[in-house]
Amino acid sequence: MPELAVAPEPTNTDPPAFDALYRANAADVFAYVMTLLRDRAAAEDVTMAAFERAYRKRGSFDRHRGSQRAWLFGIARNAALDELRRLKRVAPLVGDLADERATEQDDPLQRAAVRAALAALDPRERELVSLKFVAGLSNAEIAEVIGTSPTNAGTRLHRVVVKLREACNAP
Amino acid sequence: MRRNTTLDPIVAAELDERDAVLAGERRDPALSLIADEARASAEPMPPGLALRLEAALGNGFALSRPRRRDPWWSKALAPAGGLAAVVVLVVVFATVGGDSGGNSSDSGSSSGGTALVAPNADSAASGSSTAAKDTGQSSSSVAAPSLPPEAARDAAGIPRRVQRAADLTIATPSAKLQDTSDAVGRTADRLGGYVQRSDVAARGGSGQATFDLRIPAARLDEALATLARLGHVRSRTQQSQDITARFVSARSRLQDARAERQALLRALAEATTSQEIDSINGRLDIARARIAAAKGDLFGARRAANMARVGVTVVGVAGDEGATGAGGGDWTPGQALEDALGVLSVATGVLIVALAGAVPAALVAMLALLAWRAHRRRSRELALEPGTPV
Repeated sequence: MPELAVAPEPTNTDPPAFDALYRANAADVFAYVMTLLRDRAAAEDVTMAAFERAYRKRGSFDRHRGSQRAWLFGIARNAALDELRRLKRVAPLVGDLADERATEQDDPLQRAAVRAALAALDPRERELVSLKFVAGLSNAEIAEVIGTSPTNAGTRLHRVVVKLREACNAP
Repeated sequence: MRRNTTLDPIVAAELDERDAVLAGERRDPALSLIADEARASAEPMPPGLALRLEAALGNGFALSRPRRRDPWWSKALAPAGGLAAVVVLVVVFATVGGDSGGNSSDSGSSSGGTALVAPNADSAASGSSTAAKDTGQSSSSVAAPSLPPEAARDAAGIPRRVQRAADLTIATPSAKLQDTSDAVGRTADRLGGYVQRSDVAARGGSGQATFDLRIPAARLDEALATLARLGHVRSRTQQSQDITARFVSARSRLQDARAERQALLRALAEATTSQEIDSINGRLDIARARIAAAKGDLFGARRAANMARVGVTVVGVAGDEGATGAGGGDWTPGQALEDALGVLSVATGVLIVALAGAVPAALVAMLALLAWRAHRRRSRELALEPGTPV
């Protein structure tokens, strides 16, 4: 099983360091924003805005308050939620992505069940899955991004994993 | 809000297990499947977006315009609210401070006219003091010995009473005549005295102001020193007169009159005929009048001893006489220090008032900002609620 590739933490926020931060996290940030918005065009705009905001605020980053990745994902989260508020809409039906793949004939039943379970998650649960399994953030970093305690983040993540396991083990 | 709650040990163990699986340290097929599917379902970043980000990053995001997702006024609400609170508080403090800030004009002096005060016991006492002098009065052109009213006692052990007086003439530039006149009155007030009479007359390029002050005798020297600093001293005289005899005489008369009244009251109680009663009543009226007169004389003597008369004449002159006084000096280092301390105290007061206004305003602004941030945070979280229109 491939290991999650976690980029090394840049040591400062000078332009070269920010460039490294961008390259290490751009794809994950887009994937995360896409998880929240479920709209490619909006996700592109929000990802652009998030990196611009992070670039402008790079001087205000305080490493004592958390990791730089968590800081970046926090900015992306706020930008995505602001976009949701502005559009005054909820993410589209959860079945959208699952429908694309459900027609593949050669997917194992179990894989399809997990996929369906992933698609059926509510926005908060999808967010946790994306931060943990796609972006590879630690529980503490996830807590920092979503604005809760590490204990609470761990508990919520555990509930999501349990739900997915049940789908995985479902007959 | 982050709550620090304890994680269930079972949950913590499962999370550790999961992290170990994700790190490749353990094998868990189900968890691995979940992780794989989660990553597979993640949308890849479009190449176009990657190019745009690269370009923007290369230019330091200079060409990209900040996109306003919210109306501009929504972000300015909290700061505007705080600013409005600050403005309100400043206006309130300025209004209250303006009403309570009083002018420091003296209350004892009258400028630009004559203020005559009805003759009081002092005038009458000074007129009769010439008849009562036994130890004599002394006058000098320099400072007379400072005798407090009851410093010594005579041979009979009776405290001595001394009436003190002084006259001072100072010159000041005509342009400063009014200011100097005001300062004379303030000096009297500050030392616990008052202006009995004042007269200020300005004539063309010159003028003159005369003051009849009453100053507590114990502070006469201080008053003369302060007044001398107001301009150039042209002349200065001081007098003192022992009025112990006057005081003793008035007290004796008072005691005698009271004793007589007591005796008449006893006689009235024993009177049997109407003639006797009428006679005693008539004599009682006389005794009461003597008591009143003696009381007045005693009060006048006491007042004459306690309050010194100070006559001040301020002469306005053209040129710079009075600007740099040879005797008293217009602005001595001590006066400069006094002025500097006054400026410092005013500046300190202004700073304290400003802080008193700024601190609550800052608190209000901070509370408004915190409330706005909490509202924004809640609004963002609500956007994640399924089926909830934001």
